[in-house]
Amino acid sequence: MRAQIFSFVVASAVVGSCAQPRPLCPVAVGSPLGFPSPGSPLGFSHVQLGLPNFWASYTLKTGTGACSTLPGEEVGFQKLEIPLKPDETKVAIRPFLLSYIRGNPDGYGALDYADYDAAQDGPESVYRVDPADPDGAKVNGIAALAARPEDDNTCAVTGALENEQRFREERFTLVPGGEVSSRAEVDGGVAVFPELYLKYAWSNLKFVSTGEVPGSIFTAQLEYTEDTCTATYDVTGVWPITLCHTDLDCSPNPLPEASDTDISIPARRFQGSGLNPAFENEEHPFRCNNSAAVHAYTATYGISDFDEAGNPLPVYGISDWGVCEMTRPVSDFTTGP
Amino acid sequence: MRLGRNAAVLLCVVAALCLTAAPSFAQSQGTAVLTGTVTDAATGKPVADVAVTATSPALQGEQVGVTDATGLYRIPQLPPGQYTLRLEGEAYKPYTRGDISLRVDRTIRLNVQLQPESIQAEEVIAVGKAPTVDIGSTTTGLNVGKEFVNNVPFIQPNSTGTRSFEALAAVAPQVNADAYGYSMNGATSPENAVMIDGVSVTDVAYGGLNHSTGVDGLTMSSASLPVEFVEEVNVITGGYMPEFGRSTGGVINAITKSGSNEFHGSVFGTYTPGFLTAQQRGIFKEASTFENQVANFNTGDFGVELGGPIIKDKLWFYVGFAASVARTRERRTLYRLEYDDARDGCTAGSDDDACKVVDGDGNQVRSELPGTTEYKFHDARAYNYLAKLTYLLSSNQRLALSLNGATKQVLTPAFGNKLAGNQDTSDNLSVSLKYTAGFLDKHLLVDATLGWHHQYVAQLPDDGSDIGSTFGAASRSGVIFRRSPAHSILDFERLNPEAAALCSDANGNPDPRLCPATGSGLEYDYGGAYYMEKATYDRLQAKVVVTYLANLLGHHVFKAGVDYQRSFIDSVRDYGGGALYRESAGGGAYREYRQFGYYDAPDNFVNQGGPGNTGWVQRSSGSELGAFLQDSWSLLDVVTINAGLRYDTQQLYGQDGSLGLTLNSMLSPRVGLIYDFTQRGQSKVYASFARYYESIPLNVADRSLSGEYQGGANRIEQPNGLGNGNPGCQPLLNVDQTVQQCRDPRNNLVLASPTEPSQTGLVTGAGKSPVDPNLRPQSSDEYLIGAEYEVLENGRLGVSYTHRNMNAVIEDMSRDEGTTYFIGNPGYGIASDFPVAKRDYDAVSVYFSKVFADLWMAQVSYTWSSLRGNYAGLFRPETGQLNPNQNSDFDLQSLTVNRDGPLPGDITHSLKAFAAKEFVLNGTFSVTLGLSYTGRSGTPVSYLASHPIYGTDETFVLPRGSAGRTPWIHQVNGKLVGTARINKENTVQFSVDVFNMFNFDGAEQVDQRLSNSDIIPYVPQAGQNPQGSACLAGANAGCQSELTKYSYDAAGNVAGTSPVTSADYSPNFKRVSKYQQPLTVRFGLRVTF
Repeated sequence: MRAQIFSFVVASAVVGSCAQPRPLCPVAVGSPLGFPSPGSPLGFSHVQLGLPNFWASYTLKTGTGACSTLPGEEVGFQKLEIPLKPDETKVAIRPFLLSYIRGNPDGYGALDYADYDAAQDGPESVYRVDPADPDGAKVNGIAALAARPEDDNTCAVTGALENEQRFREERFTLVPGGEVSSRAEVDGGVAVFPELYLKYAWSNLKFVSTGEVPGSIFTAQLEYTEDTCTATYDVTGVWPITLCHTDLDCSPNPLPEASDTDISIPARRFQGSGLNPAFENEEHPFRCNNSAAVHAYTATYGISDFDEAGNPLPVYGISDWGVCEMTRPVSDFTTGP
Repeated sequence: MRLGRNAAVLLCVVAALCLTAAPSFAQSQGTAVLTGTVTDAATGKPVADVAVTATSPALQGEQVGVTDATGLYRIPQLPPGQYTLRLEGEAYKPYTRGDISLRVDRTIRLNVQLQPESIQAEEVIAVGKAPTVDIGSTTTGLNVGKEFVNNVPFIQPNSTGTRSFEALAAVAPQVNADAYGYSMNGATSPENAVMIDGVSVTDVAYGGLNHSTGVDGLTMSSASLPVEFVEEVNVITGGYMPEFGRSTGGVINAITKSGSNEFHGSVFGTYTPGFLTAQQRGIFKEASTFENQVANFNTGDFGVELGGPIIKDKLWFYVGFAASVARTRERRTLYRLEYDDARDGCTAGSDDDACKVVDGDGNQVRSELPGTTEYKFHDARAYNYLAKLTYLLSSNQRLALSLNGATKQVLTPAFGNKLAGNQDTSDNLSVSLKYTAGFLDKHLLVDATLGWHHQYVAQLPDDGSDIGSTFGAASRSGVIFRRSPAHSILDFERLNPEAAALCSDANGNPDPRLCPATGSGLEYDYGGAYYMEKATYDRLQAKVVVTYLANLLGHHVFKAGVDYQRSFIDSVRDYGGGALYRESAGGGAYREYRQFGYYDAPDNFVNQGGPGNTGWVQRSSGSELGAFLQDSWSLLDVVTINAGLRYDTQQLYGQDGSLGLTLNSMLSPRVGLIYDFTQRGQSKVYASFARYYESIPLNVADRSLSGEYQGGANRIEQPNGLGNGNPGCQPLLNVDQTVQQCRDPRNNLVLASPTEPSQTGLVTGAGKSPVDPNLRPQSSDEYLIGAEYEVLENGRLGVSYTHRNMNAVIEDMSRDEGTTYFIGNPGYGIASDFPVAKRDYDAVSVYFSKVFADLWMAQVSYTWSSLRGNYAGLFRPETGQLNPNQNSDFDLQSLTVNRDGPLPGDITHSLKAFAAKEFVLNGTFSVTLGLSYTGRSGTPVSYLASHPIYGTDETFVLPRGSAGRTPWIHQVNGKLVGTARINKENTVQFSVDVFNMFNFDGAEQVDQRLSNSDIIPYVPQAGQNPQGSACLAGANAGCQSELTKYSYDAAGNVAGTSPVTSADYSPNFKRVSKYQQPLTVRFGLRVTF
């Protein structure tokens, strides 16, 4: 305090036309308590235990083959900051498919399944392991994050940011008539999940940081590798991921008068979708992306519809859910003060 | 009017002398002004060059003024007290007038007609009534002085024993007690500015005067001053000039006593015995094993004060010291809930309703467990001290040095299996230096003040352990048990064999349904210390005010001033053992519910607290600069126009010293108009407009602008429950486990979704909150009109209408369900999609006030008021959360539903009546009888349920206030004082106060918790009866409720929604949770010399 008394005079000189300090580089994250946004149906899924994170939409730049057909996926971040050391801030990124294919037996299960245990009803989850990284540390990519935004309101991630796993082959003897997920090759009652190499290499990742957009938009380039296939994408990420059937489902405003056919989730009527209203304007409203590729992606969440009471009815393998997307260009937020 | 020639002594009658109270406007220096015009009694023309001398025991030396060409004299900067005025003009008879009572912040206008010397009469000595109507200001509120304190039974015994000055604020109309002090004009108590001798003693971190430790709502005070040391308390509720700022509530200014030319002092003491305190009616809660009751055991205080001269008329001193002790006794008894398993429809051993034994009202019967009654004491000790020196530098300049402070410590015991009780410390110290000077024949006045206000607060265990200790309760974690299916009390405590058997089943095993300690929202506290904190708060302040008198089409009093404040908070915090654990709702796991630290890698948490660590160290600060300009323009002593402008700026700095938030250019205009239609100071009609700005307390800088980093993991209870050889987390077996064994990563339960980089770690708390670049400061507007009329000698009758509303409000909000927050204005700027914060207050008051004269005094007021909106103020009355500008009101969109309606402080009718009368028995003895009555109508009751993220009492199931109102509360107090006058200087007084004479058991608070379930707020359609749709309106067996709630699977994840049934409703809803204080008797003795 003694030193600060002498800043008494200095501080008084600061008085007058101060502007609000620029926000530090925040990164939007999900709820720690595992509870979903009231506007999002994902929390109703028995698979999704936490609040959903970003929806990263992928626009293909180069590449052909199986790895060039991704419409996008959910990614999550964690900002790692040390108090009073803003210049040592890092950020971790974790993509949904890589993490879910690896699976977690203590939590959310796995994407793939095979019915190999006659004693259990229904198929069992198939967990994948990278023998060189059994704890799965490399499912997270970690790199340095700027402490303060640039003049264009962006916070850049510097250094290599990669997620990578080389899963070994898994073999199971199926019970007669047993189900198995499509990634396996079945031959004579034996399901083989071949070795699978997946790598995400992110570059030029930048978060938008303004008073209105607290790290809930990011842009990046992604080089995605699946075995021998490589494709590059332009990525635009928006938080939070929100599922929809129609454009009106994406409305951030409470709509108590909307009819049943316009809004597919009853709770949304009173809360709004949870999307930031600043992300849309009259010229560029929110849009529900209902492409087949997106439906194939949301099918991995294992949710389908709601009964009259509003309870979810899970159906595997098929989904008619789309994802809300922002149509406003990111440059709208990165120019100006 | 010509007066008779031969009168020996002329008695001037009321009509000739206009003795009026006509302050230009409030002065924050704690002094008063004597002014007036002198005219020739024969010709009526003004007389110039008349010497006006003011003397008083309260004044060092004497002060002289001289009348100008218009006959006006003005003597300012006079300390409050009893004055004598003597006027001497050439060719006129000298004129003397005594018994002029000068109160703080008042200007007394004494117009005098001088008798020419030619008339044969002796010196004129005036006798007449004291001033009543204050015709120079629109300020609402009142001054409370010694005669009120000594004669009216008002300040009740409280848990700390100190009879401190702020309780007097509730005497004024439109003021009501709230959880942390006194709400003025519908604002919350932390919005008030509190001063002692003009130096701000407002709490640096929380605003107002008090904040709570959270332990039984005990309050830490930023200042306390026994009423014995106080000359007067100036309660300003509204209509004030820009000299006072930094408050959207009111202003409370206490003026301390000073020395005099003679040694005067007193020795005093009070005693409130427990055996004369009536038993407080017990709070009945259904289905509980526990019953706790707290009652006053003994309370008392003792003190001495002395003032006098060191050098007569030059240097005076005043000292005071008081000690107070309050001991309350808490009793805990355990009960067993009764079941009858032999019944029809009942499954043996089940806790179904069918098995419960119920009484006539349908409440489950419970029987006391023998030998389980325990008594423990709460002890509060406080020492208050005051020392003051006033030094007259020259006839025009005065210096005053003052020091006052208190140390207060409260010890709270713990029942059951907590390792230690709590020791809460609240110390404060205020030092000030004031310089007062007058130049140019008192036409130019200068008042300068330098002040330092210091607070130290600490919440620690009472076993001597501290933050970072490796021994004692601070080194072990606390654990909150809460699972449903319930724990039996026997899981936690060893009871005597008879009681243990009554809580067990036929096989001698604990039967949780008989003596449950958890479940149905019940939580059991266990283990080490919970939250601990040590903090120092400091405020440095410097202020200069210049006053200039001028004549320009009437009399002007211009005032300008600058003041600067710099505040600091230095704090260190931790939880016992480094983390507070909480059992999961279904049992089987424990979570690090609160823990200070940060993640340096996914799933790798670095704990900053715990044994051997420093704890979470935080430093934040703020600075404020204010300047004002005002004029009071008096036209012909009939109309006064007050106009002024205040400019404020404020900056808040966070943990790293960098700017967190800035508020520039807060311009408050204040305008007032007063018209005296009797033109003799006996009436006024007035109107005023004011804009008030909030001074943001530093708690925002400490939390949102510094970042609160927390985290933890869910740990499974069962050893090897995860199949990886995990050791298990079992604090019931040994609470030491929480420091090592529980934290073994093998115990971690996966919580997250596939996309969370920390798969088992919870990330709670957040970094610095960003601020809306276009943030508007928080302010409130006030419109006021009123009238007053002097209906009898010394008594005035008044009526007023006040309207207040909020402009922008500053609050924190979140778009990601509470992970990160930003600071903005709800409804504006980046928070345009949040509802606008509203608080509308309208009040009509009718009052009658007669000062203590002719052996009696009376004060009566009735207020009708309405307080509506969706924002109560700087604390949340529903939960008691005090985090100014960052409470949970607007945190999430889902929290803002159903919030509009009558606010918790809405009291429709409020009646206050105070009276005292002295009966003189003979020359030595007199008896004074004092009475006070306060009555108020009820406050709104709401239906509250749990919010899935924010927890209990955060969701309004139906619109605010839908559940009706609490009933009226009445309180009658009586006081009898016997005074024996031993000689001219010495008196002995013995007094008896009886509070709540008729032992009314009015309901102060009722339980508003409808349910512990996470009910989704229901917005009724237009015209729909909300209670009908929720099946809460009464007995209609076939009613289908429209309410739904979130339902969860076994792992605690949301599984969907389900309909709400009566099983979700708490049986305690709308039951009284707090009764008014029962009948209490206090004895007092004072020897004055």
